[in-house]
Amino acid sequence: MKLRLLAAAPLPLAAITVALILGLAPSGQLDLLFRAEGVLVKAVAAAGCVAAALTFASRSRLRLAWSLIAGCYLVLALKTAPVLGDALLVVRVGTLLANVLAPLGSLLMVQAWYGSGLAPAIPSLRRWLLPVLAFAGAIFVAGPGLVSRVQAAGQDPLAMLLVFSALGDIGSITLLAPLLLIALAMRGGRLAWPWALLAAGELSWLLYDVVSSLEPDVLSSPVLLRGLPEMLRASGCLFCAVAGLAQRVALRAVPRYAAVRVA
Amino acid sequence: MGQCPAEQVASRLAEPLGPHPAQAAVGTFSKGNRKSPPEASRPEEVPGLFDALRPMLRIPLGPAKAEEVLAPQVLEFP
Repeated sequence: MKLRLLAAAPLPLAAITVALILGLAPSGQLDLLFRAEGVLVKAVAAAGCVAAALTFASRSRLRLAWSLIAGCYLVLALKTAPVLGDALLVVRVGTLLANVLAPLGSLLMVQAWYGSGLAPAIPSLRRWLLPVLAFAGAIFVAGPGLVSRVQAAGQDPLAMLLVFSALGDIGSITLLAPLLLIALAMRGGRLAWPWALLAAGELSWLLYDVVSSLEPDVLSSPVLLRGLPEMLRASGCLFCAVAGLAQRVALRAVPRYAAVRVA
Repeated sequence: MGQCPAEQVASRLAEPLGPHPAQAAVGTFSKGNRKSPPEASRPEEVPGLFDALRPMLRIPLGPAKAEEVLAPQVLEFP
């Protein structure tokens, strides 16, 4: 029940927050309010991931994985903050760091699960085919941005950092496939929730990338043009925050077992 | 009732891991320890199966919870 409530929270929470800011804030304050909201949701995501990391032993791969994802959100929060986030170098280095930490964390999680001996729960064809398809989708979504950043890097060395960021995006989108496969394989078990919510967070970020790359005239309404990316970004952060909490709740909820009757 | 020991262990693991990975894990680690299928497992093989499952369970559950799930004192012999 707790896990279902947690899972249901991010989308409405993100939508309500963005609607309130768009509906009530004076137009001159919009940027500042969205920035403050951005810092808050990213800090909440980092806290959720730290909570998940602390459920594992200090040398565990899953602890490291959750810590890396927490680090990603912490960096994102810092680079969104006023003053600090106004420096171009901080923004670009922060984007690069976040785009390295997040896929590395997801990769470690997937590796830990496959390496544990649970991999046979997913048919091998699906295990290989879906990440390949996800990689093709990632190239389709992030490829054009990567090409334009590579071209820009010739004139501006700082733009090279954005090339690595685009590569990180491609890695994150590709890793969405194994995260979803693992969540689906574990359906019916409590530990499916953190994996599914983490995948939902990655999916929100993917949609954010897609919506942000659309031409402005595709989203006809100015409210939609501003609100939709903000909502997707907030839900990406909140899904990650509740994934971390779900990890903690799911492990705590595993009951003390009655005896196995072996007769 | 009517479940063999390996099936009962799989039911226990299904709570955190889900039924499919639980059965896959018990199948994999039963095969590692014995030549006959898990359905033909005997009560005295359960502690060995728990030992084989322990390193795997430590990854998704963490060591403390894995020990709790596989604690030998929860075994009940007739």
